[in-house]
Amino acid sequence: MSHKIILLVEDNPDDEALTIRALRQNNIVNEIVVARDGVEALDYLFGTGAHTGRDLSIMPQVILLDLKLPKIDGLEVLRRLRADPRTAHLPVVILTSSKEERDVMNGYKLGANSYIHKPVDFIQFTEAVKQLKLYWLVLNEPLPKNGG
Amino acid sequence: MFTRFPLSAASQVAGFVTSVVGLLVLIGWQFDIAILKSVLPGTVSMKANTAAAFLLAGLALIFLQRPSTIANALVRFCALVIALVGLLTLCQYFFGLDFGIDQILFTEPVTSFATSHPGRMAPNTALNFLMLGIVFILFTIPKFTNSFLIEFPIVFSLIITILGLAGYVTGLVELSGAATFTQMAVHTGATFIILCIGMLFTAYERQRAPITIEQKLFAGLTFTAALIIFISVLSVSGITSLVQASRGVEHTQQVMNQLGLVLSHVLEIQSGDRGFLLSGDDKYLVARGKASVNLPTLIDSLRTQIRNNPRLLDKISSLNRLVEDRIVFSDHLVSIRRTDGEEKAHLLFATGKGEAITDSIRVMIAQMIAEEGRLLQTRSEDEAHQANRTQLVIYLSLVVQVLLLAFIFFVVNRDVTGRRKAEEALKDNEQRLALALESGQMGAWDLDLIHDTAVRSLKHDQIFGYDSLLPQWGAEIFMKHVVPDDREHVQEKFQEAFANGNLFFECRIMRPDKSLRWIAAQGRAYYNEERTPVRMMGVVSDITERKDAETVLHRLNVQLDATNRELEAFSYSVSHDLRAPLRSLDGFSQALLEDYAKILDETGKDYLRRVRDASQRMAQLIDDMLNLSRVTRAEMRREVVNLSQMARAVAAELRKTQPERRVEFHITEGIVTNGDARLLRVVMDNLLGNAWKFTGKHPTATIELGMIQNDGRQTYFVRDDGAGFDMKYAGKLFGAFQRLHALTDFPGTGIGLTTVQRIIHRHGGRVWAESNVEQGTIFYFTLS
Repeated sequence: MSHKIILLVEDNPDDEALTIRALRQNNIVNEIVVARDGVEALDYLFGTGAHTGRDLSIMPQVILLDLKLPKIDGLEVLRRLRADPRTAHLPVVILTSSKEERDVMNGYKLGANSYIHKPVDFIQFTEAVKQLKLYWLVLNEPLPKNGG
Repeated sequence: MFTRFPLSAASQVAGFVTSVVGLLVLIGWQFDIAILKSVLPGTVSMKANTAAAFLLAGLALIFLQRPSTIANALVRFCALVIALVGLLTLCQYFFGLDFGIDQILFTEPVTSFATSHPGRMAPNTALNFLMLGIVFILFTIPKFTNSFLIEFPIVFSLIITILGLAGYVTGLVELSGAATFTQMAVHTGATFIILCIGMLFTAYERQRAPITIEQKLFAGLTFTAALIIFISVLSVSGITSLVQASRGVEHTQQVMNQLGLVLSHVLEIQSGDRGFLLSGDDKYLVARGKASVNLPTLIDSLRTQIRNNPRLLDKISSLNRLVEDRIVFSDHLVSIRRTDGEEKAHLLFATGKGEAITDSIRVMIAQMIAEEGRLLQTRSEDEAHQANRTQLVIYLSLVVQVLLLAFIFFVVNRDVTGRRKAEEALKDNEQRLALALESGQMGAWDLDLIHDTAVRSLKHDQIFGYDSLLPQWGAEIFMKHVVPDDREHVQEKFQEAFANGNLFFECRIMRPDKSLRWIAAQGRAYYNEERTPVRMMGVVSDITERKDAETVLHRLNVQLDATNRELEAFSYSVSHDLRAPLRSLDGFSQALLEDYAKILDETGKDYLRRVRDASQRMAQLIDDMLNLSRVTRAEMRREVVNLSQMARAVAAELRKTQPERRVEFHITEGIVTNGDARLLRVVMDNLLGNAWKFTGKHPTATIELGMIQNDGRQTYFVRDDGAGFDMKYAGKLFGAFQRLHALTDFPGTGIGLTTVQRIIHRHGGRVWAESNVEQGTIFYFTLS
């Protein structure tokens, strides 16, 4: 299980804490790597910047991606990792407070696997994360690793 | 009305009939068939030359309808022959010549109806052929357009023909032409009428225009004139016959008187004889001698007076002999009395020979008077008959003439009325055009492209900055007013217009006072036969204000775009950033409730729950506000929307939220309208959602969607039997964040109906409500 990393890209510490709380309440014990902006997320995924030399054979099992991010926004992150063969097939779930249809459409167009709107009601949020776990962490087998 | 009449076809038929008649008569001449030569027995025959000319004329009329060079040449040939026949025949009549053309085709049999010259056509027939032949030649000259010179001879021929035929009808030979010459045959006349009508049709067809009032007047007046001539001739001939008749009576009277005189002279001789016989006195012989001298002169004068009565002439010879016998006897008696005495003379007298002769003379004279009387009676009867007939024809002609004049008046009046109406309509149109130009602030122009001159309205020149019309205007002068930067564009537009006929452009012009104006010009090009543009007409208007307004509008639009973009960015930010703190408030309150439940007392827990409720309400408010602003900004896409179907879908969703509720939906089927489906879905969500919400405190409820006609507009409604509201507050219903119910009774943000109203307004419709507390609410809306 230790290899089953969840990458959480979230700039708001409150949301980070609440998301992690919702994950844990749903008994998701995977290692959670948090990136606080788009650049950090890409650095982690491609082993650049602060993450230079990271073992790139270890890729997150799912990426929870906020859209509104400092420096590089969520949609741009999505576009770049879909453009790179190493990350093109990683499951990406957009987790955002935006309900704008435009954002949903763009997310799916750029290859997001799912789109979860963060409700204000924490109980509802916990429910949504439960659905996420059922689908992306339990049912979905991860793709074979590179060279494997 | 004549324009649709197939004149050409009618002309062809006329030509065909004419030539067939000509041919038939020629056959009649060839095989000596009397019925073909003269249709009425005992009348003049159609001459061979006439028949031949008809054959050619008919062919000419047929060929005229086929425009080709060969046909044209044939027509000319036929026309020339016809005109020549007519001309030569007339020459023969007037100069007493004989070219030998009368019997060139066939020899007239001696048995036929006597005419002045055997085989020669009537002079009026010849004149007709001369005129019609010339008209045929004129027909073949395409450039010859003087319709009068074509139509007049035809109508003239027609009149001559009708008069000729009228002669047969009235028995007045004077009408058929000079009485001493040949008459026009009946079927010649009939054929002329057909030929002339066919030629008239061709003449009108050639004009390719409806018959003008002048032509109608001409035709009508010519016919009237012909009738007047006809009546005049009839009257004159009637008067002449009456004068002759009275002369005849007088003559008869005179003859009778003279016959009486003859008798009295004879009796005078007889009584003189008797007196002398008895007395031997010579005085008795004075009167007797005078009578015997006068008698021969009297009889001679009688003879001259009755010379045209052969029967009386015979009788007068016998009378003369008897009178001579009587005188001889009387002389004999007188000489016996002188020489042999009274005795002898008495013996001779007693023989009664003298009395017998006198009696014979008396009987003879009585016979002659009776004969003359009979003659007088026949003559008067004839005259009376003739006078009656003439009278009838004159009256009939007068009636026809009055009718014809009335008809002419009717036609002219109608035409004049039509013309006046047309003039009025034209004036109306001109006024309308002027009004349109004036109200459109447009100047009119009419440009002659060949001479580069233009007729313009005053407004036109005023647009170019002049107070009054300039003496000169044209494309070149116009171009000088166009600012240099725009000239190329304008030139291009003109070239395009020359090619496709339509001109439209906008450009800047420089007025003489150096002010810059925008103008728009619109027009149409007109071409000559070679498709070269020769003329352009159109309007020009000063659009400077519009252009300025457009500039301002454009700037405002740019600003509005910027504002809209800012607003969008703001909304986007609001939906993200305003919600995040609320999520923290709610999330951590929940975390406290979960993780620190043991430390917190009930009051603390209640407070935390209130924090969570408030956060969630705030989140709902934010969502509704975003929705409202989205409704206002979203682009409208109109399409056909089935509201019934939409309502069913909404109802189904509402049922899912509270499956335990007993709510009946009555949705009228087939409510179809035109609008933006997404926005109308928001309307249905809100109205049906409200109905669902405000019936929530009733055990059962009915919600209805329907449609009615209100002031001729389709009006949709959503009715519920829920809580309702006091109509006092109806004004607050559609205001943003306005609520008519306590939150504890019915949750809500007070934005739903505002959103509904905005959507309805964006569709050009209206929304209103009727309600009663605890009786339900009806929301009505229309969509334009």
